[in-house]
Amino acid sequence: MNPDFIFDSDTDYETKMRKVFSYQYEKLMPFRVFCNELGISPNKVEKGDAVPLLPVEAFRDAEISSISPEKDMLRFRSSGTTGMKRSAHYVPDPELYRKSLHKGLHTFYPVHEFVILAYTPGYNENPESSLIWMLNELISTDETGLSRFLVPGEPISPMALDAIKASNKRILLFGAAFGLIDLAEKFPVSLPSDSIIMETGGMKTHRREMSRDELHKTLASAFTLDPSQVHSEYGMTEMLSQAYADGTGWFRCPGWLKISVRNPQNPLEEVPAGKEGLIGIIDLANVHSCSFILTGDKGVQKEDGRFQVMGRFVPENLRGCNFLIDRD
Amino acid sequence: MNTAADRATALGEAVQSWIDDESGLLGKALKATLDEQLFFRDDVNFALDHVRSSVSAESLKDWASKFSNQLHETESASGKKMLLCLHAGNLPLVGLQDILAVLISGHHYAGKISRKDPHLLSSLLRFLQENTTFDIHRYSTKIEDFTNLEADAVMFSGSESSVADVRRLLADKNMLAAGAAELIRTAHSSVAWIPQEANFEAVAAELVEAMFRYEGKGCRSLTTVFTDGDTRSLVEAIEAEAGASSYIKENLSVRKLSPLLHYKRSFYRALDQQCFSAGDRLIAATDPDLHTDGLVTITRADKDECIHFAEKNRRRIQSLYTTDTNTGFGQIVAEPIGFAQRPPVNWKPDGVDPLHWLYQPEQKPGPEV
Repeated sequence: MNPDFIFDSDTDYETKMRKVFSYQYEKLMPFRVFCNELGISPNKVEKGDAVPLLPVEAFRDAEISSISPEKDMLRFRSSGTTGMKRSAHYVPDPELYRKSLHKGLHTFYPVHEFVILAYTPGYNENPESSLIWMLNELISTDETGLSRFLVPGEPISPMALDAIKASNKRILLFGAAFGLIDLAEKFPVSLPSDSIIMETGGMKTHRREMSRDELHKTLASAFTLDPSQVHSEYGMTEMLSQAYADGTGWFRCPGWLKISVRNPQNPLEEVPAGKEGLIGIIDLANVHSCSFILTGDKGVQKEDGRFQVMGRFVPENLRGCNFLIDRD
Repeated sequence: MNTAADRATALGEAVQSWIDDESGLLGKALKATLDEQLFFRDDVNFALDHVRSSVSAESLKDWASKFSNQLHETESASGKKMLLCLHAGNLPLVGLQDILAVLISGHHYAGKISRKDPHLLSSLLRFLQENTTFDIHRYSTKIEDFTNLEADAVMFSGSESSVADVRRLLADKNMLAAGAAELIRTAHSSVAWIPQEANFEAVAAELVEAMFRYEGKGCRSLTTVFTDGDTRSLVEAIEAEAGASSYIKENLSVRKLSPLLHYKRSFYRALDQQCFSAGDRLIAATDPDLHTDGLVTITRADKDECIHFAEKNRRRIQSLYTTDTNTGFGQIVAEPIGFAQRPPVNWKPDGVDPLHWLYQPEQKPGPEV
């Protein structure tokens, strides 16, 4: 199937979603079994929100690919410690990821105005990281030649900053939260006031827990920016699209990516706007894997579709002997 | 009753008398409990049978004898403390051990009886008031009846999310004196290690009782199993036993899986992970999950991973059961699987003997709020 239709602005989202659902129901056995067990199939779905979302653990525990993975196929894997099972996302069509990445970023940012600086390990050290692949793609397509991976553990070079200033480009500084905090704490530097910092999450792996607000304030202070210049990206190994939040913390999606918030006690159900629940994803760019994913992230959504990410969902547990004031 | 041994003897004899008097207070309490459908008849009978066999003058004296040196303190009036027990009601008679410990210790007992199990413990307490000289200061299903009690210590079980509310209530209503000691138990389910050399068919009956008795609701109920054997075979053995269980057939078979468990079962089947449902419970060969109500997981792992899991989650895990308690489990004292729903009277919730605690009531920290 030629996946370019997912970017076609003349076709409504619902039509595109149904086409992807039918395709994946037919081609992806685990997803088909999952849907059948729930009594759902393409000819029984009336609305898009009735398509069941597969738990993201499927990418860890099974081969989620409608095309049989081949030896040289691009594959992304989630980060993890030795011995841990990691998710694998097979990408038989890297061009699809490129398109989703560029079109998605262009939806929200005038990318041609920016030089990309990435404070992450380089691509050669992490060829299986979807984030680093994405950054490598952005860096390599910048015609100025000024975009680059920064060296972890070293400050942003003053010469690099001068060169960017001389080019009249703005800076878009990418990094995982914990990496940017390290940079901010060890090598604070004034960035031009029209710069944007794009943190890509990852606060839970840092040596200390930090709220998003605290993170953004810390980064803004270290780089002499207004906190509104610290933005966020929401993505994961299992997705080929990203959502972006400006300084308000509310994420927006490109047209082929839909987020919903699901009832943790019944993931087939969406919760009303304003209520917290599990973040559900429909990423149409995942044509060759599974577009319909239930994450373990906690979120809340507004009526207009913007959403916030509130960390990992930790369920309240009422098992066992438990004195409850209102029940006992 | 001047000594702990005296109190233990009297209490054991009283409990046996209470249990034997089926037409008396217990009989009425039993009828009310079943009429109101608070628990399955099977579970109430099981609980009473267990009390009959485990609570006696001998067993209580034996329990008390372990702390006989410390128990003299309450034999003078000035050493007597007011103990407030907040009883949960998820199982029949679930608060009994705390009552026994307080009364053997010689302290004053005040007990908030759960509205979910309002009759059974109340009937015992009334029996004790009418037939013994034990100091039962107050018991009620209404929390307001303990306003201004100013108890010296409180004992209850709670979860991380509920403890803060309880503490607030106790403070607001002056139910505890300043500096009162707390014994808060937070563990909510139990784990088993089944080695590959165990006979899965032989152990399945005990596993099913550990998983399903009391609808799987107690903190001693089994929710997480580790084995270095074949998980498929173990799940099949448990499924066969569950299928033959009259308890499950008569009490649980009409129930359906919750939407969440239905969703999870669909996912497990999609990934060809062995699973089956019995009533509203789902048993699956998958990763451990301490949070999903009604889910029992069977995970292939080695013994060290099982021990590591139990230690890492020690605030949540009550007991570790196994087929061979002679083998070591690090710092953890493993119990036979058969003890899951039939613990001895002196078992240690959250690793703390309540009778021991009553004589060394250093503040056992509850969950951080």
